[in-house]
Amino acid sequence: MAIKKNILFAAFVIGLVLVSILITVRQTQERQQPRPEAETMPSAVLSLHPSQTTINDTINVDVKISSFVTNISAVSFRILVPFSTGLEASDFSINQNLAISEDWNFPIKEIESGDSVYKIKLAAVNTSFQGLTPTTDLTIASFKLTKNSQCSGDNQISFDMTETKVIDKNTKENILVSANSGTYNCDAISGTITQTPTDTLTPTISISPPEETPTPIITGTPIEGRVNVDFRLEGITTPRSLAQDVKITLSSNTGEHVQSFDTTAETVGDDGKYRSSFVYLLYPSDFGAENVNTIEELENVVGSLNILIKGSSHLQKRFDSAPVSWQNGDIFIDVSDGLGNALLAGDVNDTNTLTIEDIASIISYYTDFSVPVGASVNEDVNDDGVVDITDIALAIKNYTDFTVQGDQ
Amino acid sequence: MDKTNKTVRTILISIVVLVFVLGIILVVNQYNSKNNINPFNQSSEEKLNEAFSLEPRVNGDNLELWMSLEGEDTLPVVAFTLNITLSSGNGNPPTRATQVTPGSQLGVNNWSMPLNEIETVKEGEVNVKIGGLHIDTSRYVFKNSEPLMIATVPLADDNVSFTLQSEHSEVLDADVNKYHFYDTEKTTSLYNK
Repeated sequence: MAIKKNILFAAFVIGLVLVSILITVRQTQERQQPRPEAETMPSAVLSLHPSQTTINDTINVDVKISSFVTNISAVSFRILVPFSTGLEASDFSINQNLAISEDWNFPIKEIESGDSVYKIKLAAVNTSFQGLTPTTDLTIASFKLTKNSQCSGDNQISFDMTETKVIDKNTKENILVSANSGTYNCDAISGTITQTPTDTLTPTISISPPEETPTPIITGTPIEGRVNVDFRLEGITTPRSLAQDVKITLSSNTGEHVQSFDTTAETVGDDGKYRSSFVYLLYPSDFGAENVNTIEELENVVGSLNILIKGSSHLQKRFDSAPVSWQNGDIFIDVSDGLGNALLAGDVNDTNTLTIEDIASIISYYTDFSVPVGASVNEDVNDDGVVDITDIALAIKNYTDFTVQGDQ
Repeated sequence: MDKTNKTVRTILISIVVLVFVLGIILVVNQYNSKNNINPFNQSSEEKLNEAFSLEPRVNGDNLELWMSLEGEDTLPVVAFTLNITLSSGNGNPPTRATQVTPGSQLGVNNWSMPLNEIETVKEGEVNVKIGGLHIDTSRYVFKNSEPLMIATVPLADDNVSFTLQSEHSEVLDADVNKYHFYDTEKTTSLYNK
């Protein structure tokens, strides 16, 4: 009886070992299956279909997307059709299924006819909880190309890569690895078809060169002065308990000795006005007062300064010749008056531009009426501790073009 | 002795009066906090910005949610949220759906619905959560004369009541001003209106 029991136990153990070996071998084999590199990492490809053809009169061109591994929260593209090609772009339309879907918004969808080029522009946001799941050759939009009498030979139509992006729902990075151009031949009889060139991007995050800090040109001895700057951030009208990170750049009206300060600002009073305080070097020569040596003497000559203010969720705003007032040797600059003076909200990725990426980034947090977030989450645009519909609406309010640039 | 008694009586009456006054103050305070009324700090802005109504219409087995602008002639709108409670009262689920079906005009007009969820709160009661966004460089202008069907909810019981909650039910215009709905916190029986 005991022997039978031992045999059964041994058989069970052997069976278990065999099954484990089989599973391991299978998994190893699966891992060794060769797969295209782009399909094994979060990436996306945009392309024109047909990619090459001969145009007799008019053709319909589809813009397609394929995405791999990850989900997509936003897509934008700009396709350029130079007038010199003899091709005319028209009838831009969104894929009907996407156009009526409650998961998609298309804030930009137009053909802009410039001086020398048609610009076919689209910006799309997928606002659903999961985003667009991996897809192959999904048609986003279509347009027509018609040849005119100037058209001959092969003509390449390509994406403008500065405005062409596919945004990963999770990482919020641009994961576009290539945007394939199209080649369209206008010689109906003897057209030669050449291989379509491909604009290829490296799917890695680009590393920007370190920001250059302007070096003050020393002319005369600078005098230290404390500067207090009052300003407003759009969407914030009540006190906040936490300080905001801001960048303030000051210079004299002549533009000399530009100095930037990465500093913090806190609300003062009860209506959301922020104040930032820091030490600034004043160069008397910038104000035509070479012989001045003390801060008290400067009071009579410094009447205004140029100032740029950038918030971590707000676009930079410039105030030229902002009036200066003096109190006990301190400089006070108040640019908080008037609604138009508030820094515009929505630049949550802090690039001093408001694009579809910023909006997609805020939406990625919006999974309930009011989602609590920690301090220093830029997507909480109005800094009230939650991401809700107001944060998205603040960004939408200012999103008036592909790229809304903050002041420089 | 008589003088001492008089003093004690006066003190006792004063204490009774004080307790009575304090009691009234306490009751009034409790009433005000329950109704969210603060007579000393009532926001006139909150009172004035009711501009929308949400009408529940029963069409066959479906509940249709129609949103209308009432306070203004037109208003450019970029976002709205609706927080609705559906209750059957008899323990049966008011709906078996987990999401609403967005109205067809929403998609056509470039609206999206990032928040679309029907959550069971307790037996016989669900919470319908809707968040709509209009992300477009041209604004969607809500017109007084044109109600918009936001969504439909399939009903699973013939004894359902509807309540639009004031918390999280709001509309934001193109300048991110907040507007509220009329008739929030009012429970309506859908089949016995």
